[in-house]
Amino acid sequence: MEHAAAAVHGAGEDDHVASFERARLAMWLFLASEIMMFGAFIAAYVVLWMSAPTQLKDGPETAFSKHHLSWKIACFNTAVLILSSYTMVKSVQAISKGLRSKCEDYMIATAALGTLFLGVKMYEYSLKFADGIGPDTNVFYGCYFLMTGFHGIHVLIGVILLIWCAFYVKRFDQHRYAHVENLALYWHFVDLVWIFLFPIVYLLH
Amino acid sequence: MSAEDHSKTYVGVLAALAVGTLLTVLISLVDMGHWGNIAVGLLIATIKASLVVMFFMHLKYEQRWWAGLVLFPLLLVMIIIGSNLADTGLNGKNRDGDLLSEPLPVIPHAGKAGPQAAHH
Repeated sequence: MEHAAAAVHGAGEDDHVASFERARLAMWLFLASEIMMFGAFIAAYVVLWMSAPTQLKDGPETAFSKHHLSWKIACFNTAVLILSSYTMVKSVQAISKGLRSKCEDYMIATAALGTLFLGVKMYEYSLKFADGIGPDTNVFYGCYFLMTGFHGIHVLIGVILLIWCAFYVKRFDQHRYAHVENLALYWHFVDLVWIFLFPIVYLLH
Repeated sequence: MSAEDHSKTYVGVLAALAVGTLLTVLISLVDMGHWGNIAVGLLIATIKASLVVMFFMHLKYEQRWWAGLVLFPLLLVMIIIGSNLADTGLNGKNRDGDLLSEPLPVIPHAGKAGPQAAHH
């Protein structure tokens, strides 16, 4: 009887490990489609950038002029997102050891950093709008608002999911934390996209 | 997935990402030519992204073929960019160097665009 119970328990563990792996694989497939989406934006940006006139007849400004952009604000936001990736991975590490409270703390810290990122982004947008700059200003700003806007929406979704996950942290333990792991994968992906957007949009000319 | 304690690895990756970000900004201050700055900037970004994917996203500890889920879409993106490059060489001008269309409305210059601009 004990052997039978142990066998059933063992089979249950195997099923659980397999379903955890399937959940992660599904998340990676979703992220592959996300890579294609942001990849298409970046491809459009590169092609438009290389197609833009290098000189215009009536002045130094070009259709791809980046004036008014603040790389310092973007650099601060990069640091915020990198730090949030660290707190997220620590959250996963905590729950993998069964430390729910620590996991929750790191998750809330990640959500707070994500909110800070969004706040700074809103401030940056407000500076642009105050200067009369919008998506229709030139080709560059069309791409800028498209790429950073979509990225911002992803951050917002991530923050909402983090708060939801922190609220339900009691449901997870060291054996069952696929939600936390997948949320972490999503959050790191959002960080990844910004790692490329920062130099491409703000620094390279 | 590994049950090992990766705390030191995570701190190391965080430090590497911070240094990489600092390097990206510093290198944009140095004039290495148009393509030189772009190549180095993208190289650093790729190294940073690889660290995040391998260690924070634990791809290093997953089955090897899962890496294809990242590399295959990247290959498709490269094909999209590569297949459009032939259209971009003239920078919006015809072969005589004249603009193909009237310039778009311009915005008044009011500030520096970035560290590279500040340098010049």
